[in-house]
Amino acid sequence: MTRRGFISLLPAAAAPLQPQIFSLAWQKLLALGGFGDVRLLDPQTKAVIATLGPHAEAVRAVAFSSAGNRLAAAGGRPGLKGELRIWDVEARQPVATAQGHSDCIYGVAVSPDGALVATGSYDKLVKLWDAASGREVRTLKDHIDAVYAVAFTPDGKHLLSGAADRTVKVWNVATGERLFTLSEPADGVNAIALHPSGKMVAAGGLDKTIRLWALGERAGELRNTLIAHEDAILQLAWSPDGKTLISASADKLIKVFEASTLAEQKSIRQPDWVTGLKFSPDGGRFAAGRYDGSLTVYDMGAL
Amino acid sequence: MILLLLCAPLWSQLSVLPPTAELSTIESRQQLIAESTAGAFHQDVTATAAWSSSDPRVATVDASGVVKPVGDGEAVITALVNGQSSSAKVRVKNATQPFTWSFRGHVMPVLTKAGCNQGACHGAQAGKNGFKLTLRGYDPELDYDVLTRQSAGRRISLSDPGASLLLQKASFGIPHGGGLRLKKDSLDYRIVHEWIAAGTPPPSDRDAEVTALEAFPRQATLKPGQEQNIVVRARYSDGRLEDVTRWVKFSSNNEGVALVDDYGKVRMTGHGEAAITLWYSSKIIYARMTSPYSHEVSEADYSRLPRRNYIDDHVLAKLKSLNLAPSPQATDAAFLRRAYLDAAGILPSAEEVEQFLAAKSADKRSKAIEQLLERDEYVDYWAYKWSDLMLVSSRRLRPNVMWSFYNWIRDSVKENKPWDRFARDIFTASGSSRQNGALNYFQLHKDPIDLTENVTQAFLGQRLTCARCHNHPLEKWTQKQYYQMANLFARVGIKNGNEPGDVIVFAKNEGDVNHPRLLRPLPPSPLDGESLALDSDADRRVHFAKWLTDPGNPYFSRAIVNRVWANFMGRGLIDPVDDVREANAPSNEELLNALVKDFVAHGFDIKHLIRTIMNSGTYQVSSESNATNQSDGVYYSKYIVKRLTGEVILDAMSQVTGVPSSFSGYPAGTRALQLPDVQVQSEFLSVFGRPKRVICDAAERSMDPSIAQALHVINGDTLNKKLSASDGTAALFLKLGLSDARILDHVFLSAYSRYPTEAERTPMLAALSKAREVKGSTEAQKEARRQALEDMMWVMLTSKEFLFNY
Repeated sequence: MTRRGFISLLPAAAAPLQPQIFSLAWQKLLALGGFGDVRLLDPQTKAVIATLGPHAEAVRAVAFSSAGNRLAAAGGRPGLKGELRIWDVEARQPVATAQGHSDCIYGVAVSPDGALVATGSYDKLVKLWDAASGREVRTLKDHIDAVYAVAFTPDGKHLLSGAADRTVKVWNVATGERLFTLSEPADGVNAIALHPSGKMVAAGGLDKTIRLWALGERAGELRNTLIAHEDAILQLAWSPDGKTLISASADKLIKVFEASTLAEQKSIRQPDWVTGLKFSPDGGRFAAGRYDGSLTVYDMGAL
Repeated sequence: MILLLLCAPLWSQLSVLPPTAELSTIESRQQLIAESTAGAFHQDVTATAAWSSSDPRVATVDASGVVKPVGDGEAVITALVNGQSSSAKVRVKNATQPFTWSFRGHVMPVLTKAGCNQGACHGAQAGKNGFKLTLRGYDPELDYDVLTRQSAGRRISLSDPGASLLLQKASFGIPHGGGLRLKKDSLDYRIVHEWIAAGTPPPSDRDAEVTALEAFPRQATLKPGQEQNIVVRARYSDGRLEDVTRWVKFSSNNEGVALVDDYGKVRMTGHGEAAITLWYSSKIIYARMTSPYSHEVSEADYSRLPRRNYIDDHVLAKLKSLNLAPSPQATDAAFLRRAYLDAAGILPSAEEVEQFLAAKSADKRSKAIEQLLERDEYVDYWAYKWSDLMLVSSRRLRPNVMWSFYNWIRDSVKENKPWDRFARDIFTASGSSRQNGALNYFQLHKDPIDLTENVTQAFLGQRLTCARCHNHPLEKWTQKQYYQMANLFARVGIKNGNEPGDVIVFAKNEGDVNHPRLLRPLPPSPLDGESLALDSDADRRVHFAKWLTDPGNPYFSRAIVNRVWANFMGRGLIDPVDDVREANAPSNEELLNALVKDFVAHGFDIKHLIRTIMNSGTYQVSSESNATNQSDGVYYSKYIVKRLTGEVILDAMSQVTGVPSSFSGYPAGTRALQLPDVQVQSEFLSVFGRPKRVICDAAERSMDPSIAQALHVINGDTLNKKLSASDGTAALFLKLGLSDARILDHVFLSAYSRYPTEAERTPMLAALSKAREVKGSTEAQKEARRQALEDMMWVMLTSKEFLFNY
């Protein structure tokens, strides 16, 4: 608030004081999707190690490969086109650049074997790309509104997508077939998070509600529902040990839940909307990046 | 234009509007209007005036009269037209202070004016293409989050404001289903662009709010084809004044008289009067544009309308401003019939008509009015009318309490209970609804939402339903005000009484209504009245009743005065009669204000109001048009002809034929207007539009004509059975052996309240006498006469003259 108050006194056309954060990923390094680039940070010192760019407009989704050697960064121009760039993290060089969506990309995920990248876009489509060449592998078409989140199951066989059409869909990666749809949400889905086992998925969105489903081969079963926030849920993350689920909402709170019961353990006030929320690979910490550019790393032990 | 100016009479007068102006920020502007007045007529000469500033270091003015601040201080801006000059004083403040566009004060008005948040676009319930704004911007905080944050902030690009989707779409930089809304070189585009560049400062509770609007000019008299610009200024809660014309939503209530464009330029299209409604930031006012008819009307024409009280003064003033000549006063016969029907829903009897026509005293009309107001039928008529308003019916009330409610209303009319007490008695009472009929109001309207919407409609003429879900798009009421009002009724308790149907109404000491989005109760408050604290233990209904019936409450008295006026005059000063919202301008504001003032000064006395209306020359004017007022149905230059209601027609048929209608469950002789309940079976009444008393809406009573009505009157057995009844008037005439001439007079007097004309008398007497010539038995002769008489009465009772009030 004080930051904006300060800016309002500046003459028109003042640039933001610190780069905004539109997305966040955490492997060995922290990746922050910004406007026109991605910054790689040392998670300990938060020092910027490298800047990857250029990107068209804001980078609204970032994801590391499980080995941490590749970074998929996606965004594009709203209303015009999507853009996906795959970076060699070590070399800080682009491996491939893909263009194919007709609106910007909001969700990105790298398959566990690192061979595929999935993207979800405002153009209602989910696309699978060859991670090495950037070639489009196939388009998954069934959502009827913007797709905000995508995730691979740990076995790499299935892809999940959450969209503004109030559904989470489960796809067969090899064939592109839509296997089933989780249609309980009462409003658009903004975020999904998979249990590390791949057997459960959490979704949240405009209906302020977290829902947990057990995933079967041909159907999902709703296991738990909680009206968790007073405004739309923006981000969800599941801890690597599967015990903790965290959520961030437009009500400017991050909440920490015991995942099996959805019992609320902690509520942390935020200065602005959280645009990226991820656990560290060891699960000991989580990072929250915000629209206003601020970044906080929370220690699970010190909450 | 130049030609017009050269022709302008020398005695024309020039003025600059507004006469003083304030520019409180470096981005403030003020459009000035140069208005020339010659006689009754105005002319907007802004465009041809030569404008100058006394001190260009303080403010400059361009050729179109727009004043721009330069430095703090005062300057005089002068318009020079045709050798005449006039000035406005301008004060400039904060000219060197840094300035930022505000979300609430600038960006929202820009988006609203551009139509982004209108119902057909992103203001729709489902939004458009994933982007949803609140309808006409009723919730700036929510819109702010949607614009800057939602969908990962896709709509705003802080790092590259011009690339923001919001601006790209609105300026059609990329394809947009809504088309071009903001031109790139416009001020509106610049406002949004600079606001983004400044980091999108959010709305705050400290933002100044608009407290009032002013229009310049407020009134203008123009000729068809002429144009007039209207400037609108907003007054803010921090005392600031701003020219907000460019963001105002303009509309004309009569496009046959005046059209208005999006920027407040009015073009007169015809003769008459139009209200130009100005909406900005949930505030509404109107400017009146008049174009007098081109008739030649002399003083003698106007003097045909006698000035009996202030009503006539105001009506005459309006007629003079429009060059409409009033019709002459109605004949005694027409007056008497009209007065009986309007005040009591009955026809005068033949004897009453004869006596009245024969009477010679100068004040016989006033006397007749006084007598009428003391009759039981007057009580029946108004009890029926208020029962319509209060929705008395056995549909949701058991008969015992339906009767209690009706009797309470009838007793109130009988004692001429002041209207404020009538309302107060409902809203401050507690106890058994069997014993105190007024309390059945709370049996019909059980929850705070229903109570809020009914009370505002019934007693205030305000339609609040829109505001249940969002700020009223065309009115001043906000959703917040709606739920503050609803919370006044959160503590009305109801429990079962001593017998079936009876309920006990009591005040609970807890309970609140939540605002649906804020998810918390707001301090209870009557529309724009004082709030009660949430923890106050005062009875909220009493607080409401106090505000409702306060002499200063403009809606309460306007609503009832307008209803009573419409009953007599055929059209409310505000039309529809129960739509007393600010955007619905009265046809004669001064008259309505005078009636309201008089009504309040006389302690909300309905009978006084009725007496004042009925005694006016305006009420007693003929329904026949003259050469000037054929098309007038609004300014009361002639009496507006109206169809009788079903109840009145049925009772009048009973009265003339001498055969009462029978209503199941009611004693013989009960008139339709004496029924307490609309559930009583009567096809005749249903066909003629009897209201169901389910929702409070004057339109519930249908006055539309239908084939079924015509068939019912002509072929139906309602009238025919009455005509042929063995104990009816027709049979009685024959039994008494009255002469044909006397019978004819009697029927004319009782049905039309007049004697037949020669042109009517001759053929009708001929027809009656022909029936005497029938040969055969005495029975057959009697039968032929009866048949002829019935036919004659049938002709009269199915005629327009019978079915209408004129």
